[in-house]
Amino acid sequence: MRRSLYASATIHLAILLWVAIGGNLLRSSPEAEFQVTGVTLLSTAEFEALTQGTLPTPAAVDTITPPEPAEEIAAPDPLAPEQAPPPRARPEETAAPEPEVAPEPTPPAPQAEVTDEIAALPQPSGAPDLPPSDTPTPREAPRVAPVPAPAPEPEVETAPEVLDQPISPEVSDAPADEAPQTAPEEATTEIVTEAEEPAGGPIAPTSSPRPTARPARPAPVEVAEQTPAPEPTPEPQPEDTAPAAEDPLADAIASAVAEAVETPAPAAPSGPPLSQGVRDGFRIAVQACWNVGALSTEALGTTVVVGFDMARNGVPEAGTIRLIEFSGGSSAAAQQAYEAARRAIIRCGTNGYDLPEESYDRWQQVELVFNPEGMRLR
Amino acid sequence: MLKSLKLLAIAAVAALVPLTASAQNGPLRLEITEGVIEPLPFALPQFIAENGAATDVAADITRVIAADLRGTGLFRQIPQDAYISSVTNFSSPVQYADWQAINAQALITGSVESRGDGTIVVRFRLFDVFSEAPLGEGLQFSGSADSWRRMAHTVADQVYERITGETGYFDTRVVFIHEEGPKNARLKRLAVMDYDGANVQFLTDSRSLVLAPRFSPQGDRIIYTSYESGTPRVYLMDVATVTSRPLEAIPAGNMTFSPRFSPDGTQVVFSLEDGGNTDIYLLDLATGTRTRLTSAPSIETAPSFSPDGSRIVFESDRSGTQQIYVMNASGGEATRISQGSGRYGTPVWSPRGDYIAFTKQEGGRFHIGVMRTNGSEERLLTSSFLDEGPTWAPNGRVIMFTRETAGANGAPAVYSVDISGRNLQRVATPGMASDPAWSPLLR
Repeated sequence: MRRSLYASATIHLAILLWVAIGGNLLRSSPEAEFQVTGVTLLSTAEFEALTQGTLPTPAAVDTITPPEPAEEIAAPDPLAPEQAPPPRARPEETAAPEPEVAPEPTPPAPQAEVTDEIAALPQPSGAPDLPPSDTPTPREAPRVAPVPAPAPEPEVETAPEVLDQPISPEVSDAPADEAPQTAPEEATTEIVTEAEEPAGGPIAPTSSPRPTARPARPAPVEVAEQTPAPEPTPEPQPEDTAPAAEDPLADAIASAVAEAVETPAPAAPSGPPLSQGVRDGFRIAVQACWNVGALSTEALGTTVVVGFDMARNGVPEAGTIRLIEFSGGSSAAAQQAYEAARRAIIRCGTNGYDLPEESYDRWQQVELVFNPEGMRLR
Repeated sequence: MLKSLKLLAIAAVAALVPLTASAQNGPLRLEITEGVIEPLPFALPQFIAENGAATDVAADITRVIAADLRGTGLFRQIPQDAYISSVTNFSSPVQYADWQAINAQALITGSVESRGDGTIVVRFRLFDVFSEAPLGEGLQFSGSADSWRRMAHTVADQVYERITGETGYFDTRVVFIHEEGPKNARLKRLAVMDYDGANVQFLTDSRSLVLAPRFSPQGDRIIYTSYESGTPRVYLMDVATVTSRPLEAIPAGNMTFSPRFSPDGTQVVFSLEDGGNTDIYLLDLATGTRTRLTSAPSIETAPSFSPDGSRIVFESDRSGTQQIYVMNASGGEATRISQGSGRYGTPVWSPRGDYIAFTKQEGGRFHIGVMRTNGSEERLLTSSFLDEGPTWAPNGRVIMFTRETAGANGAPAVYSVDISGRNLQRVATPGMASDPAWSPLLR
């Protein structure tokens, strides 16, 4: 009986001890942390939609917004096929005269007038080394007499005579056949002399070209159009007598704006204003044909203002091109500069300048200032 | 500070508002500041032969006109096989559209008629193709058939003048030194040629060394330096008779060299060496009066008059190195105008008076350059082993000079260059040539 009691007591004591200290001794790892998982209750319809992949994505709260472009760029329109230039206005049709002579004889190959060969002249020993010729078309050298010859007398006897009947500049309307157009000559905007050329071959650039900065977005020029009819504005009061305004700066700005708007101006053309990009494009188109290479140095110092009208298709009306004013040179130089400008306007406008038709009222009349200051010899 | 900012804002608004308000109250106005520099394309159909006898000369004249214009570097000839129209009648209306289609900006048409008396008549017209209008009136010239080349040059001069606004320079001649033989025994003769190297004719034989010829302003005389008497001496030649004589008013015992005419042709300025010193003198050809213009222990030489005859540019080493100076035509104080590094010499005043051409030596290279008459805007046009002796075309736009190659067999040749530095090319001479001097226009 007592043995049973002892056994029971021993067993209970052992169990109590194990409970009290055995857990700490036998624990092998720290308690794992609780992992909490959010659970969302789905309705049956939502579950079905989820399983079918059509559940709308919930909007993220902290999504990173991609940076917006600094400036909205209009998607470029697909290049339209180049429009055929409208037929140019021609004078009254004139029957083209039939050629009197059948096909033009093939011109003879150009013959050199002077040869560079030293051997053509009697040379003592030790023929010298002539510098290499830079002339692409050497000329034939006439044989020369070994004795001095008298200089030729002037042989042209008569002064130039003006022809009696100038030809009327009529043009026939004969259609032009397709013909190979000659490639334009390489042009340059800078003259590099032999002395300025690098001694060796081409030199690698010292820095990589970087794209030019994007031009500033043109500010809408809407003040003239959007400004309502000028309201009477109070005359500016002298400072000493003017009552203190609530916001003198705002008043001053308003006054300045009102004064400017009140200034009588000619009727403003209608239509949306031309953006800076359109203006630049027009300017670049003209200057691509403004060839000053054959102008005199005086004409290169002459600025001319040339005015003209344009048809709605962007083609300049040649008959309206006129010299408005000039500065910096004589009348003769201005005439040369004007003719070069006129050629540029007509030549690059043959197919019409790229100008928005909705703004035709704004570019129907044009004045171009041809300023060759940057093209002069320095 | 705040007040200043306010005022600034007001001013800005006041300035901007009128601009925007009047941004376009009239014609669209733009400024064109950049163009292109390229040869002007021209079409030149072969001149029409009015009769069979003129066929060859019509072709020759057409060829020379084209060569003249191309040679300036300002014009580009469109190949004849690109032409759509053919010009078979001088009086036919121009098919402008055909010439516009091949981008011809100028069209030159002409005809040649050969008459039985040995003369020919040349007619030509010039058209602005894109303006669809003639450029000036049509002209005609008549002369002996032998003068066809001058008539071609005259047509080219007219075309050049009407398009560029500059006076032409094709109907001109160039006097130069024709050289033969090895470098250590060079024979030199005075010769003249057309500006393009054609029609070379000798004025002296090779018995005497000759140097530095110069045309008179009228083109009827040539002044040059000759060693005929043993020492260098200035001679004057009459072109019509090809006879020359030394300037009597100059002592025979002194070396005289580097002569040049005054703009009116009545005086000659030259260098005279006396007792080891070289100075510049002025000689009146009519009276024989000699005037000393410089008086310095240094070497003064290479004088050249300004076109108005009021000043003389010359070279001097009075500062220790060879430099360019300007003084009054009557002498007196001289002003140095060359300011760059290196040595400067052989200055020549432009016929237009706006530039002075010179030779510059620097860093073992020789250059031909131009500068304003006050020494500003110096611009070197060439660079080589040896470039020297510039001479101006009568229109002041083109410079001719001597270029010599290096080495024992080095040889001189005549080159020309536009004052912009473009169109550097060799003048085709029948052998070695140096010391070119341009004549005035022969009209």
